[in-house]
Amino acid sequence: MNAALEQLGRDVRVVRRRLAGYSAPPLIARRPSRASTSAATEPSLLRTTARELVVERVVVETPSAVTLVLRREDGAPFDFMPGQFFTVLLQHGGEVLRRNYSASNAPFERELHLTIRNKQDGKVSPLLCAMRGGERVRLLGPFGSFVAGPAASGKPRRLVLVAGGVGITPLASIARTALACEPDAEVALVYGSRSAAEIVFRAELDALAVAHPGRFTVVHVLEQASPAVPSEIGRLDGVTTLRALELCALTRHPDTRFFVCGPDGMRDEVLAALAARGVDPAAIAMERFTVGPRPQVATSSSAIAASVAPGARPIAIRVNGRVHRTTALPGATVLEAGLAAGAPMPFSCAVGGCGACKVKLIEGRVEVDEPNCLSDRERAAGYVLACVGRPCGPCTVEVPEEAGGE
Amino acid sequence: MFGDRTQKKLTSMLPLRVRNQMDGLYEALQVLMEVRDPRVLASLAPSGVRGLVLQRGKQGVPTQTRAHHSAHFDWSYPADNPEMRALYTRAKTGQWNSDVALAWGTSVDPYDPATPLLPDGFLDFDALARLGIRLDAKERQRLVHSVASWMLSQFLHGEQGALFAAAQVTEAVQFFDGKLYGATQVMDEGRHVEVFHRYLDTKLEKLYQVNDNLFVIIDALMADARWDMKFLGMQIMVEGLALGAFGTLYKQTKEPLLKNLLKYVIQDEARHVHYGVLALRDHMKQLTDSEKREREDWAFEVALLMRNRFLAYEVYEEWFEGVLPRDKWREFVTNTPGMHQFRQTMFSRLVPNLREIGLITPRLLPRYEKVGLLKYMAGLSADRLDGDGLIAELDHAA
Repeated sequence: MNAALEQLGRDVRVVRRRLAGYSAPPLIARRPSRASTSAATEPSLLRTTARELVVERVVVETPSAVTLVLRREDGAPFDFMPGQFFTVLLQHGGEVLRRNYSASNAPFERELHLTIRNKQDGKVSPLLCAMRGGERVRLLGPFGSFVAGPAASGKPRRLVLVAGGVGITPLASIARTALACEPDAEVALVYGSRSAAEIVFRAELDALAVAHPGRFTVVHVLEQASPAVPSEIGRLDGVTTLRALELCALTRHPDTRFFVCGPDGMRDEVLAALAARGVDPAAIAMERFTVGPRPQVATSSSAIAASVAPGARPIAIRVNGRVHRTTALPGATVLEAGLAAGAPMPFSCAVGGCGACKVKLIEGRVEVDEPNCLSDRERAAGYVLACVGRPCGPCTVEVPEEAGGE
Repeated sequence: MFGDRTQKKLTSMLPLRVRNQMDGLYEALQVLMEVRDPRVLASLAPSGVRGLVLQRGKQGVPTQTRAHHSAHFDWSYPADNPEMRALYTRAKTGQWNSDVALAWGTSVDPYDPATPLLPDGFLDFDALARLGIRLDAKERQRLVHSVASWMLSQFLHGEQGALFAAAQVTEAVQFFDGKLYGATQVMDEGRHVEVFHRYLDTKLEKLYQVNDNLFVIIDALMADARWDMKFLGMQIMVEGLALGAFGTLYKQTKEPLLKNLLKYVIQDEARHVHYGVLALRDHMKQLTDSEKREREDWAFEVALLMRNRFLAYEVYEEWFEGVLPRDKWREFVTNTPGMHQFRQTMFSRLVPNLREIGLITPRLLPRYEKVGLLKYMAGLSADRLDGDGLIAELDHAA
């Protein structure tokens, strides 16, 4: 009866509203996504809303790397795509520091594993590595498109993963997920470390190989040989990569996709080695994790000179149909100037690594620190990153419509 | 009732917003006035009021509809329809997993000129300019994004209807082989809801309300107690038109994920329509003349509703309400090249199926002719087409 009365009430309201000349709203307010990839599909929410997580425990992986095992207060599982990263926010000396770390476990678990290399000279990683169970961490995310999508037309997936050092983290997530969820997937891992003691996840990788015979192979490349670990010897470069790939039958399969993650120099050499083997560039995905504190060295000295040349730079920032006008001091980024002027600009890592602050350059010139995560297509379309982009003179930028924050 | 001119004269004194609402209500009245058979009126009118007047689909809360059919059990499990059994076998092997089959990692930029959702010229911007609305390049892109999102939203809502209708039909149908087949269709429809919603939610990031005309059809099907009316409505009318619409979009879009998604969906849909033709062809011959006449009229009315469903009023309300009269928008959408093409393909798929099951009789020909649907009579019906054949035909035409 109540339901019928409520329905009648709604019907009457519709008729009255229509007679007064008003239509029903044409669009449906979208709810948080139901899709399994929801993690990748709520950009504005994830970019702007930090979540607080509890450190469940800290696992010492190697002398220089730890894994923070995090859980949510409500105990719910984490939803991300294997290969994605999170931005950790750390309050330090009056400023909020942001760093990106890839998840190293499989999604949909009740824990999130962030594996962190302790950089002795770093501002953030020593603090994170010193954390203890029960402490809390704030983070944004997940972000990133370094993800292993499904194979074409339902064929079993064949993945060759090439990792250097702590670059193993997203690849570990990809390998664990593919092996656990897809009975026909085959994965080979080429993994470069300084020494046997520096191999992150060594025991887990061995266990995976035992659990999935014939489907998972690991070829270690060690700078210092160790009797305990059979390996190719040397730095992970073009030569050792080619030797290691020879040991992986998957390399020769036409459907194989390649995922490369590691320090810049190593990555470039691996890419060159893959090209030398005739691997189609479209079959290769790579992850950059160059970002530490903001790079102080831009690609050209003239760029630096231009961006710190004296004189204020008037900037117009278009967001959500409004124009915010402000002036950037020499050397200040578009993001710094915009936020100081109260423009609701989205951002996340603030160091050129996630693309959350992407803006379109409508007018003027902006020097952007390299390397950063913009794709060639985005560059060609005129996008720049506000967080590492410094105006060289008067300019106008526009925040893409879907990205505008509140 | 009033003629068009009288209606215009009476409403011209009202403010534009009120006039637009009157136009909508008047249009609803016209649809119901077209109904000649009182039995059809009795079955469609309550749904018409719920959808066109009360806009139950747009009230912002889940909609409850009451079903009146009975579930048909057969404890002897007869092998009663070899063609349906063959279709069931085909459907089992044709299942696909949307997580694996489609590359959801594809980054979709609705504004990228290299991969447009809809082709250049889909909307006639010059015609819009003649109505006093001049859009710059960016606004044009946004309008095309809206129209594509709107279309896919209506496909999604139609698929939700199809999901529940397929479940009802599976309960109600008299053929046991048909029940087994029906179970695969329920799965198909669930998957279609999943992929269209996922595409809209994660790629286009926009979802429109259900169109009032589409709501009327779904509501009428859900409420009708007769299994063959559910079949006729869902398998022939909604699915048949969907097949045409998906085919047009498949041919026209350059966005690779959407194209691939449609390719998979089309192959399922071809089975669905085929099933409807198989079930109804013989059944229609067993009906009395009076029962058959009712179904002929009902199909005609639903075809009209389906035609009106594609007028994109929700896009109008988002963009132009208050600046452009509703009837001018109707005229624009009706004549804009892309939508014109859509109607062509949709009805060229639907009309041959209606002919095949015997629902277009000499009595109805003048009415089909009057609304411009007669020219589609010559095409192939679904029982002579399969999914691969359809895709090949579309690829050839593209």
